[in-house]
Amino acid sequence: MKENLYIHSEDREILRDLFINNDVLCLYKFHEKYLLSPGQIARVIRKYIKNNIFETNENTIKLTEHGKKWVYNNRNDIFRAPLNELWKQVPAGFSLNEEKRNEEPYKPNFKNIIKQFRIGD
Amino acid sequence: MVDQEEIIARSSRHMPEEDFTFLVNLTLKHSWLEGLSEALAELWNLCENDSEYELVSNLIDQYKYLNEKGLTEASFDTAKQICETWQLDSENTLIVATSDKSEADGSQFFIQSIKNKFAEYGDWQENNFCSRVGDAYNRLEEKPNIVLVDDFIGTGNTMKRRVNAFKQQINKRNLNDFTTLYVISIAAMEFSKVTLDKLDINYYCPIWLKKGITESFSGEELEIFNQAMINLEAKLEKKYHGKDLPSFGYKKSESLFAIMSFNVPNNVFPIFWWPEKKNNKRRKTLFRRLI
Repeated sequence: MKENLYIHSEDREILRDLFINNDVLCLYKFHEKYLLSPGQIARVIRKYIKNNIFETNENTIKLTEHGKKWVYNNRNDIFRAPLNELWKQVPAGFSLNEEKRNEEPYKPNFKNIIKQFRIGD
Repeated sequence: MVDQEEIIARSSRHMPEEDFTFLVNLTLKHSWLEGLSEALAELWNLCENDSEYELVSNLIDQYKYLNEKGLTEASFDTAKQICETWQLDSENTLIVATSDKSEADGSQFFIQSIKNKFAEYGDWQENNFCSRVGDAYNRLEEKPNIVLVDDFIGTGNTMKRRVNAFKQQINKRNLNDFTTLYVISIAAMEFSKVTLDKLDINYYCPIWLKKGITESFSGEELEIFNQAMINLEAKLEKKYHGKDLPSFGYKKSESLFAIMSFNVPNNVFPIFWWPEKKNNKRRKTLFRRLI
């Protein structure tokens, strides 16, 4: 994809419906059907208008001719490539590195252990 | 505008078509609203009649929201003002955050943000910047130019107190002929100029703001919107953590300003940040403030 656009799940839903319908669609339909929020819709519109993929008119959107070709040519990247599931990504420094854990087994701090105990109480 | 990679939440419930369409158009107009759809919808739902809807939409149109880019621009602007316009150099200048507490505040954040913008203006170093006024008092003999910085000037009274405290210290140390005071803020209310002018110091601010209602409307419209704001505030809890809701913002400042990730000033209309509706019901707000 030469535009290097970041594809979210809402991008997929909107692009798919527009491509299949091949017509003008009302923005509200995407809220009704997928519960997309105003922020999601606004970001998608801004992004694709900038790249001449969408055109809007009074609360409706449709794919431009370039947009139709773009969706078709990039269908694999848009619809089949796995989404970046950001919530699954573990930030650097927070992941439990197995290899490292094996190298550094847990060793208790003996100074902190309470040694005054009796067995059988 | 949220980062292209950031996930924006779906709506938690369906909204009427008219509201949805209006909020999409509002978000298209103001990209900073993109990640705030839930809070925006909640604010919208607080409105019950046309004048309230119109007021909220008008205030959002007026709102000055600084994102990272805006903050960087303001920081460069500040450095330029100090080094080029005022011609202050690193040898003779101490830049001081107006914070007088150990807790982090906006002035300290701002001082952090401007530091590296001085890199292109000669030999500025860490010791030219001071994050607390108390520490700066002990360094008054070192540098003749003291620049006090804050993120926001509302009524101007806090800055007045700081400047007067500095003047007292300068007096105490017999440095009246040695020290010159300057004040810089990212943004300020225009009405604070009256207070700042009386301080007899050099001051600079890249963003001047009008009162959101009183200085933006007149005649019948002003009356209608004043009443609409009173009605909106009546739907909020009057006290939170023992503190009173500052009607129309602290001392009726009517401010419309926020910097991304900063504590929003209490001068801002509370409908944008007050955390509870009547009967202690939590609400999602466009901006946050630790009360």
